[in-house]
Amino acid sequence: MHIRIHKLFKTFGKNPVVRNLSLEIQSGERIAIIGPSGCGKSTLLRMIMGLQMPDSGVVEVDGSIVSEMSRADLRKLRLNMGLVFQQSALFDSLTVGQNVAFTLVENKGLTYEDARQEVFEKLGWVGLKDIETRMPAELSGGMKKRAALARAIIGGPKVILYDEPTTGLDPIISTNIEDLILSLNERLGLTSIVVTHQQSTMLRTADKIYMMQDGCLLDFEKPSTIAQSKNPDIRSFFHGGLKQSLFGGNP
Amino acid sequence: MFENLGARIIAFFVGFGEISLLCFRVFKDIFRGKIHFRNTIDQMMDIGIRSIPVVFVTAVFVGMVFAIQIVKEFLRFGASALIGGVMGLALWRELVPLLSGVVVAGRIGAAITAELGSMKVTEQIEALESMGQNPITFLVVPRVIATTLMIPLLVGAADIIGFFSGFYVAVSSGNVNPYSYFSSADSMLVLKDIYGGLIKAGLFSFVIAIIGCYMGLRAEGGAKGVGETTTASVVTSLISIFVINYFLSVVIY
Repeated sequence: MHIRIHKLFKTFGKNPVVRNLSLEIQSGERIAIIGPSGCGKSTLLRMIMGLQMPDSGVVEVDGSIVSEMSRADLRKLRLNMGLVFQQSALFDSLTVGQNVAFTLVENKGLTYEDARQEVFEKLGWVGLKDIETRMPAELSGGMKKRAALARAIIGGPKVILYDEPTTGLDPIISTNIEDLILSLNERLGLTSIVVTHQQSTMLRTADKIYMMQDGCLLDFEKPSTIAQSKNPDIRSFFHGGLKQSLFGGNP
Repeated sequence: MFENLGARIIAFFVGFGEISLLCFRVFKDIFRGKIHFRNTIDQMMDIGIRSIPVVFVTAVFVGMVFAIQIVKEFLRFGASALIGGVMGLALWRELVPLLSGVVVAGRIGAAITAELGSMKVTEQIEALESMGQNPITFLVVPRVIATTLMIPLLVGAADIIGFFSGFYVAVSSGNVNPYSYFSSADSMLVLKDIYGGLIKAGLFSFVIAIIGCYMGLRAEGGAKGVGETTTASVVTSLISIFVINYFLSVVIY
């Protein structure tokens, strides 16, 4: 899937969150979007998926403008994408297995029994076996993230969006999740967009790293060059020096 | 002061408009047959079963208390032959539908708001949308249908329970003739007294479910926000059903 974002603006109340943002993502590309809290990263992901609409500008997916899509086309677009939420967003009232099977049951008309084999397989891919009958409340943060990952890939998406996939996890679990992102991207040939604060996550899961600041996108860097970026803001953020934005922004 | 008052008035009309829009979307889904049957059946079981104790206990005690209040007075004026009819009128037309509405607002309305609110603040509603589901069809319509169908059924049963609870008190403590209790009810009550109460119960339930869902879907601010929204949902539902009750009583009777 080819994604083109052109002159995007989004404001909440009087607060501009995304300002004149343009970006092009080729099929199969792996990118990371970094930036301080409240700079509009998550909003950008939601606009790519059509969960929020821009005030102006366009998000184009394979030549179709998301904000002009019919309800049915928007649904098709969303089924071609997977989104892993920051808080995992597993449905509390369903078991882990039912969560993972959700899209097969609700969108493809399978019964849970029919979907079970695939649920087992996807849970196996993310290293979660024998937990399909457990409830989300019984899982640790890392397990929830993995279950959410299994749920996001079971429908066979072409693009996968990760909203802070390793935030709040300890370094070992974070590394596990990064490994999973890498292996799933490789196995499924997905286009992936990772929104993150974490240095290791951006370095390990992306070929291109874009930085967002105050709703705008700065130049991209490669993981091998970001530490020596010519842009002082990127360099400063990477080295943890952008304290003003990090601690002053709205989470 | 005027600025504050103006903002409140605007907020009231915005809220009213948004609730009307939600009603429109619910009816649109229903008339187009976009009903998630599995969720609707689950909700009917859940809401029906959860409401049985509160509605039936309310009916038993309302019937008994009302009987205590009127039996002595009616006996004093030699009007014992009217007790059954008056009990039926008061319970079926007014007391059981209204007080059931009050307890359902506290029990079911609060539960709906808390559940949807917690889903909202933990991104579960967005997760639903990201997986191609419409939250109105998937969450709101089943809850509205289930509440609107199940509560009047329970109120119908509660009407009978309340009437017999009153009968027990009237006969055991007021020595009212059992035959006259039923014959007065038979002569004074008409079918409209029963279906009027059930129409009221249906409309109250619809309003409670719509307000519960609306408030839940706009919850924000974590657990504290969900708690505040749940309280606001119950208060709004209660005020709404009291106001609607007046107008329905004027129209139906």
